[in-house]
Amino acid sequence: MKQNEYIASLLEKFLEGQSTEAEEQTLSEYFNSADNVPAKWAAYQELFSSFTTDAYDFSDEEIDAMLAPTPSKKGIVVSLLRWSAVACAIIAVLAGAWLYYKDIAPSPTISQKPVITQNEVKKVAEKSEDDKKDTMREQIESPTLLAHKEQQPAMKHRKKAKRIAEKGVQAPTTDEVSTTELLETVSVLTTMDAEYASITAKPHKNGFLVNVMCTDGEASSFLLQRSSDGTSLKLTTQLINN
Amino acid sequence: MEIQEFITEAEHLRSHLLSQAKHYLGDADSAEDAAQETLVRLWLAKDRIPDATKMRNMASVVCKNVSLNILRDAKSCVAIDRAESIAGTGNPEKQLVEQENLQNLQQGIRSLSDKQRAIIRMRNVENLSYADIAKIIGATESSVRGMISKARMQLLNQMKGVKL
Repeated sequence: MKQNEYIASLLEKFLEGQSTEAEEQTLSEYFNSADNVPAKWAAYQELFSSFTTDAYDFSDEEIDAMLAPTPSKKGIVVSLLRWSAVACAIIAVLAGAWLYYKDIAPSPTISQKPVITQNEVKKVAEKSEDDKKDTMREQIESPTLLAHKEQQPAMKHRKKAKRIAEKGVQAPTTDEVSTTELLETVSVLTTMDAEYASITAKPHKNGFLVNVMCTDGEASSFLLQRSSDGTSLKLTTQLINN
Repeated sequence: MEIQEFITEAEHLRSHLLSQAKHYLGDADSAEDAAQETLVRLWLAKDRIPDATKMRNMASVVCKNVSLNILRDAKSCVAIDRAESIAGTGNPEKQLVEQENLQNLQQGIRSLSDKQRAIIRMRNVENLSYADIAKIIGATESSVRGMISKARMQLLNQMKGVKL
């Protein structure tokens, strides 16, 4: 009876994790050798006998799994979803780009024969005695640099220019320059981050006078002069009125 | 790898593991758990670890995996395999009390975390002292005693006829 009380006290400490190694050894020996273990301790007996088995061993597979990353099923589904989202985004961008370029490629022209291109735009900085305005400024950037630098933003404005063109920009009477091309030229020349309120182009002497009114109040005028052989346009004067 | 060699290396590794785990998990408590879990796994795999260099390399890989698992588990509420082992109870009325106990005990062992199972194994199967277990997993002895107590109660709870 006394032994049972002692065992009971050891079991209490055992369960609370307060027993010493020696006390746990005592318990182990008791449960593995005693014949008349009280029924109330059957579970403890089972527990101590399990310590002598391989019930707590980890299999090679379990250890393999512990040392290597273990992707869960959920993880696979999530990563599949993630990748398909990426794929959708790429497809959407490509489709958008295709629609965009499909839309602007066959630009409506007044004439069949394009006579200017961006690269042909040449700017001749020239102080015109005729156009004396106080706010006149000259752009000093080299034409090639200008064309190169603004090539990309110019793409954005093509659409806008085209939209304006469709709304009925006053078309030049000459049949050698298409409206779109003219507007492209202008968008290359103007400040690209400005929102245009209107662009108008009028025939002027041997070329065009182009007025750009921006919503921020800035207005620019360009004089584009046709070259003597009629194959290119030159910017002869640029006025920026703030 | 022998136990003393392992303990020496584990003590060196601990601060490195803590900072690595903290990098993934952010808070110090989770990092502590991850470092302990890493050392538990290394201990279980100690037969595959020839020397300290290999142990350091393995520790880094295991610590990363453990940290990522903790992050992932934090997102999902109950692991499915564990839920099944809790819910599934065989055919108790047809079985003798002892068999039932044994079955419940096996179920109980399966329901322990790897860490709990490993620590119980260290103490009562491998017969390591509490002090050595604490050194192996890089925790205090009282924390090891707390973890073991919790695991033992969990096991007994699983077996029929034990009221706590």
